[in-house]
Amino acid sequence: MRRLIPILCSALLLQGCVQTLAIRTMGGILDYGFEAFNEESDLLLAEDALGSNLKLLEALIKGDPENEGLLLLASQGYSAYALAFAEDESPERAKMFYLRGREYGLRLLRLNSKLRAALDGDAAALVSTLQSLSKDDVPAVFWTAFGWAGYVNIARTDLEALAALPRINAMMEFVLARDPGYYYGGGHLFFGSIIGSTPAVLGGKPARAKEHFEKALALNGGKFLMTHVYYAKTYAVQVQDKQLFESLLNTVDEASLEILPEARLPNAVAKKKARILREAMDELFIE
Amino acid sequence: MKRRTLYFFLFVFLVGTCYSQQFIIKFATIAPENSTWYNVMKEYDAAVRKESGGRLKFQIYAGGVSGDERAVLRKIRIGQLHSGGFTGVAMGEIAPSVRILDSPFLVRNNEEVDFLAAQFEKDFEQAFEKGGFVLLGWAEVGFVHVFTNAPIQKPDDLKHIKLWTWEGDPVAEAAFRALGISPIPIAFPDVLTSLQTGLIDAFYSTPYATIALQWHTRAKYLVETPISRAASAVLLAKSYYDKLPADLQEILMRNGRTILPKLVKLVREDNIKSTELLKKSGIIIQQVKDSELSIYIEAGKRARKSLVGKLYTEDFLDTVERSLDEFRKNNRTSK
Repeated sequence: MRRLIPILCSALLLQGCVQTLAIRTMGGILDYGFEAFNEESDLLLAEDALGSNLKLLEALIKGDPENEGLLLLASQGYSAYALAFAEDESPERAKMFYLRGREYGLRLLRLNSKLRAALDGDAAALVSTLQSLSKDDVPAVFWTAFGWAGYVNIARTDLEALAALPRINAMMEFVLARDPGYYYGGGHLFFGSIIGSTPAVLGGKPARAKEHFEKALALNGGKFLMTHVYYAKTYAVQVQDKQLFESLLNTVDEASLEILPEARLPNAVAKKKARILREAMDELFIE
Repeated sequence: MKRRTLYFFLFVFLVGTCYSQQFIIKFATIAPENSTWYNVMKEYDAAVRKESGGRLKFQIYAGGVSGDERAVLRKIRIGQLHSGGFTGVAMGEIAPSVRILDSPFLVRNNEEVDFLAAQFEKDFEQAFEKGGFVLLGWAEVGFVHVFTNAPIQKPDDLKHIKLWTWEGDPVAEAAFRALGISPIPIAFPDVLTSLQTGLIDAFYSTPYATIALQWHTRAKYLVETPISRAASAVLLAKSYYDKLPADLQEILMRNGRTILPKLVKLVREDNIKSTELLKKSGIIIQQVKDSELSIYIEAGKRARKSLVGKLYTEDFLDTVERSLDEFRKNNRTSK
């Protein structure tokens, strides 16, 4: 009997270790899983698979709540789901998923004690704290800001969210400064869209928006088609350049999904968004 | 016989459907998609579409794609657009006398605003018609406060700040002149940059607009006494309105008067919420002492007087001020 106790104890300990180990391994597999999602060109298959894997991911996070890799995947996964499969169909669902993307990102960033305080403060405090971070922190900052901005964009009546925009901008400025090429020039794509959708009378600077889009296109070689979609949706509409709008969307329509195999999914989503955008053209351009 | 009657009705019905013309009101707003403005206009659109069986609808151009309000006005005059949400300067170009609602230190709360709008509704409607427009309904911008970086304990402190003023707005100019301030005129789009570079260190705006424009990151104080309350109206070109069949005119007007008040209510709520958020973000509300209040009130009187002849007649100003005094006497809550 006495001998049994240490065995039981070590078994219990071992069980804990095994569980964590298993989660870590699963996390690694999921990493590949997300690569595989991004390579998927069939939107229906990707939607189903991404949805169920996000729940699996959440279960794993419950078992290992401070696992940085898992938190990042969850942040990225939920925001990607919102952008790809909810935003155009149900803004209410998209709001919820963007918020989850933001929350997992914030959980990850808050593991850093300096950031924890700065994230709740004003934009100036956040700017100076971000300066102490390195290029390795770019993904976490990018996906948190991405989810946050995605939410603000569709929840314009949420004033608290609107008031957070300067902090979101500060985070994306950091991404631009440390790694402008991250996620196909994602920082430039963000600022192009934000500046490009602001009317000139409210301080929008169309020329600067155009610069950001052109830099994003240069960084991703024109192969990441979301760039064209947002270039058309924001800048081209704001300056009422219908010709540019149509030529950007034509480029998206005509592009093969094989131009960037690792981003077949975002590119397929871009094609869907381009179609929706074209259908709304009458409301975007004044005849 | 029966069959012939049936054919006759079928014929009338088909001709009716084919020939009932569809009217599409092209409406422009600076407000972006998903904003309060946009959502309420969408509701207005849905209501008139439903009631008219699809014969009348709005085409909404949001997010300022048709330019600022003056550009929208030009586009309406050449027939490219038909309708828009107007405020301040552009509203004054259509109907100068309506800007009495914006005039410095005139109204002090929403009850007074609503009283004036109702009391002088006919006058304002006529003024809009004279300018070629029909009033579909009032909208709202709200109470305009001065935001500063230095504390403002008395009106005199305002003389020592670098205050922005909107180029070409006679109402703002009159208000500041009456207070003895020489503001710095800067185009609207350059305000944030000018605050960042220090060319100006103070501005005026509603709490909501301050957050929406992200100007709140550049202010420390909000002066509690508003310098004015900014009106807004949804207007339709009269030439377009006159082309509509009577039943569509009725549907359009009735729904405007029931749905647009929701916009007024929501914007007012947004301004209250925004003030709370501003406080939370660290902006200090500068209260004005009762003894100092009279300085603002007197400046307001002078400023309003100085706009006589430019925007409205002396007679109209007197009538408005008198009925407002009366309203205040009868409503103790309205201080």
